[in-house]
Amino acid sequence: MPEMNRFDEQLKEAFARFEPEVTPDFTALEEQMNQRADGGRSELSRRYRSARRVAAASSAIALGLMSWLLLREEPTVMVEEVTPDSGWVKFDGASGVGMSALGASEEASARTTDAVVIPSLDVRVTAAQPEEVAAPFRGELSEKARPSTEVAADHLTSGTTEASVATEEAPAPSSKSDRPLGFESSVQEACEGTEVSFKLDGDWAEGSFLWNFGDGSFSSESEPAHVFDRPGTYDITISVRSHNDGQIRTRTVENMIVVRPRPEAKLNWKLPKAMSGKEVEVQLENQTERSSSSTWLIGEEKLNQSTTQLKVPGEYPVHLIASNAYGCQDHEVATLRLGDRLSAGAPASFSPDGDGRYDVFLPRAAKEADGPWVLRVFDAQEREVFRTENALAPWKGLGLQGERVPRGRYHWTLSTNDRDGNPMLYSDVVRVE
Amino acid sequence: MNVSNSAQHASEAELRPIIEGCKRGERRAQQQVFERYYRLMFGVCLRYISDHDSVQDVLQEGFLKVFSNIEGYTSKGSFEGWIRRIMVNTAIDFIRRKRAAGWESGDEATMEGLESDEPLPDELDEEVGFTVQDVLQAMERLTPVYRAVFNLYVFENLGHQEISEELGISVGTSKSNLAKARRNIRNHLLAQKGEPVK
Repeated sequence: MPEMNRFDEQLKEAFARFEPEVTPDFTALEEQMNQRADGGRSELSRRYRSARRVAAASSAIALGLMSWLLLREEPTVMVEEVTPDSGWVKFDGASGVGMSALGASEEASARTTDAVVIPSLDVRVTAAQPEEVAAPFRGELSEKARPSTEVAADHLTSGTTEASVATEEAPAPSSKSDRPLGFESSVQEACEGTEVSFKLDGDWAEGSFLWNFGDGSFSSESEPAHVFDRPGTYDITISVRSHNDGQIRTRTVENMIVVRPRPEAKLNWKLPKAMSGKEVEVQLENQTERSSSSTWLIGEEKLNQSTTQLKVPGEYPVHLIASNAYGCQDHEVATLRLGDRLSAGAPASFSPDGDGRYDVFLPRAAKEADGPWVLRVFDAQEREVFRTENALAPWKGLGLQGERVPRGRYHWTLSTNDRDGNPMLYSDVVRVE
Repeated sequence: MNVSNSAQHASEAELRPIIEGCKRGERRAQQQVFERYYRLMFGVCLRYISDHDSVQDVLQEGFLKVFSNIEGYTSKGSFEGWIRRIMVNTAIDFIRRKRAAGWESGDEATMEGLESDEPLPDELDEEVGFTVQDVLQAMERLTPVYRAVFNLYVFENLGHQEISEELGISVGTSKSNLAKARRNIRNHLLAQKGEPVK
């Protein structure tokens, strides 16, 4: 054996149990081993596949939320009834009425972008300024349409003369020019981030289109779909340039689409200070602002209430689907970790006999915790015999009165936060020898 | 206080089913071993190799060896010690490969000023305040061989004969490398503290 000096000893002490902050990632190694094993399927890769299924299920939940309004299919894990619409909303002059004060402030901001170049037309269309639009307009479309839009030839681009002619000359009345320009949307009320589809009434195949969604976005498709990213009330404008007579017809429907805010799902949970056996009762807390209802899932399993029993040890993906009064939903997932003595780095036994070896008990997870923690020790009757929040005060096998506790098994719990800052619990048994 | 060691000690029995699982090639058991020892072994390898990516490579290779040789692990010694031995060997192999050209040459061979067999200076018994990071920094300044000699001697408790065999250097070189490495590290730590270097 080499001879040691104080300096070497000091170094050894400093490095004893030195564990740098790195994250073990087994997947790379697993892959390599799988390759070596000639692609053999193992128990673990099955676990990973099942984890991927959970992930896929969660994205499916999110996707389901997104598309539900539009597709109106029953989503696999949805519980609450959502939005008030059904079917295509036909604009008949009365929709958009009564769409609440919510849109009032957003309405102005939704009108900020006024000009756009239609590539296929080479014509600049200037949308209406808010003040030009008579506020109380709710009914007839055809009268409102012309004055609300100003069309001019775009001489800066290589515009077609056809377009210029069409706009400079007053179009001759034709059978088509009297045709009312009506359109429909898939919904009238939608959640933030939901796609809304639009289509024209009747057959306008022979024309070029410009949709103004009122939020600064435009489309030249004949039947566009648009996602409104911000809550508000939006005016929708369609301009159609007929290929037959070159005439441009425009209609604006005020307050056609109301977009409701989506909640921002926030979840938390409470863990008990004490537990017996191998299960712990977890109390889930929906901390979403202005949330009217919630659905909880642990992994893929839906809960009927917000408390549940979970086995220790284990890692549980906790999903919250929170809805607000509008029926808009959001999804949040966090991992709940319940550890045992192996993950806590705690011994199975210790001998508080003062011989300088294994005299005290303190899980490594407590010593290494970034934040506050509490270690509690219970006897067989579930009475707390010891508690500490200080790494310098580990359990020395003494009871409340400072007496030595009898030999035997003692249950302990260590409450702390995991690396994501979520509350977590370690729990196991230690034997006093 | 001996809690962590006792945790390690006490868990050997607890480890048995996991080790048995590894012997049967169960991924779950392998993952448990991997995750349990990864950080600790990262810390061990970091003393030999500073670059984190290289340490990761060494660990990957090392754990592969662990799992493919686990049949050979008899429960006589500590499992952690066994894994550690594999990791250190893998780290040294790595350094050897990396420095295949210059391994035996250069200033590792001998050093001026210090007789390799001379008794340890008294100053080494004084307390020097430092952190693990300070020491790692100091080690980073050493050549890989100095570093390996120092680590094998101080942390792996190998004698100069074993070190010379392990690294393919002479016993004299091992001794002189150790003395120089130790002095370098100590001086660096003292300088860090702002104390006059002896």
